[in-house]
Amino acid sequence: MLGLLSGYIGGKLDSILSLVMDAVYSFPGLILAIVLAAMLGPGIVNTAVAIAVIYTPTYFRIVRGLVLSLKESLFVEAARATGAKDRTIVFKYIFPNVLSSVPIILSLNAADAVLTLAALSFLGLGLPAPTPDWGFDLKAGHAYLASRIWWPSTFPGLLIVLLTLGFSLFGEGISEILNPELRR
Amino acid sequence: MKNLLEVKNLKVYYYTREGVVKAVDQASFSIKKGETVGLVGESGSGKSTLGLSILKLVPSPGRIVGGELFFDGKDLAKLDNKQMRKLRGRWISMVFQDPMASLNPLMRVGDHLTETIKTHEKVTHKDAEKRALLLLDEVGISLERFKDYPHQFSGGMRQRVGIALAIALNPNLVIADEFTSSLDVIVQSQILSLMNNLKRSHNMGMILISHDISLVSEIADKVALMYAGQIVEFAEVNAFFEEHLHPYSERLLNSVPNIQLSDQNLSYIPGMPPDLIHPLKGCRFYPRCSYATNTCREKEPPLVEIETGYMVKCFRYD
Repeated sequence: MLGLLSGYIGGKLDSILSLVMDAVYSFPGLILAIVLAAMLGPGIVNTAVAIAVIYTPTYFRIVRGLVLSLKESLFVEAARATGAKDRTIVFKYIFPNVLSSVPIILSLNAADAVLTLAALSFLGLGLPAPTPDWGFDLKAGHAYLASRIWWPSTFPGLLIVLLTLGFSLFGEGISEILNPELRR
Repeated sequence: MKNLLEVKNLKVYYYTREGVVKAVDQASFSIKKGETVGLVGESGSGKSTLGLSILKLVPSPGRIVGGELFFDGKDLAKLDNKQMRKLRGRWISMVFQDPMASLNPLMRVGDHLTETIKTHEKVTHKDAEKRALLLLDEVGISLERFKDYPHQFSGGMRQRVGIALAIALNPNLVIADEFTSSLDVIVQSQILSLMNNLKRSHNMGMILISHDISLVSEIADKVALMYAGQIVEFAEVNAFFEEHLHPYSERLLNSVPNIQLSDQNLSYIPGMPPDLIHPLKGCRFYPRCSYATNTCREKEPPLVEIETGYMVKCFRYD
């Protein structure tokens, strides 16, 4: 959303937003998440916030880039030549075209976010103990690895991999639905 | 008759890193209601820029830096963005060169039309759809394709949609920018006759931007020949083909291949079009002109009316 506005309006707003996003982006993702999670303390909401913050710039950049190139495209110019309002251009011409590429990033990122969450929990910065979490299980199981008890850590790990894969397939499915050219 | 559009000494410059490109420099011409003017010139002569500047849609870093545009007696320079937006599509519309890229790939063809109608008129969605269907019919697209997406159409069909969009609100002026050049010859002639019929039945003025002088000769009433950002000759089509007074026009018409004369080398105009960042001081055509004199090198010729409605920019007729 921010990317949409930033790219379309351009100018000062674009510079400031880009600067902020780049600043966030320049931190290594996981470390920033760890710092944020440590600052906010464990908990579902806090962990979600930490993960959201580190992923926002990726979307922002991709969306902004797409908007910038779509803004120059002929069909947007053609829409302008028919007297379309800025609002119409943004929401009916640019937004749907950006949207069709977002699920792909989304699926990759959702998968990545699961991994980050697992990593946070593994370090004890994720969800508090009573909430079930594969990262936590992984950590708990990790202690037994040395005594050749492999299953407590293997299955949570496998499930994380499965979920990640599931998200990727989900993304592909969504993009097929949104893009009429891929529809059969 | 009153002029529908009057372009006076229009200057459109592109402010690039390499310098100021004078894409349109002191161009003047006019068009009456229901008339077709063919704007002809080679690549980079500024014809598309001129077309876009009439809608005030010159892409950045381009800017209209001088001259006047009068549409229906209104000074377009005085209109703000909102008024300009209301004018586009409603009174002046445009058909683009590449029908493959000028439709939104994620929007149904019918929605393009409905959307355009609803932008300019307060009608219900249903009424807009009804009118959109009529428009499709008018440009020869079967009605069951209303809900199809642009990628399901061929190039010629898409250009029909483009035309339907342009005539959707019965504008007074349509700017057709090379609108047949990406189509094959058969489809080209179909689209051309369609456009010609629509133009007549809707009594629209048209600016036909093209590099194809034979195409222009078929449907235009007047020819405005552009060279290096300037209009060098502006005349009625028949008069132009008979007289073609400017040396550039003469060379250009000589280069049109004639299939009846076999075994003849194609003639062309030697030299290159001038650099528009550093245009020549005198006449822009003089390095390629066989009649060039010292005056041509020193001074820019004025655009003079040698007969009623016949303008030439050359010292030979001054």
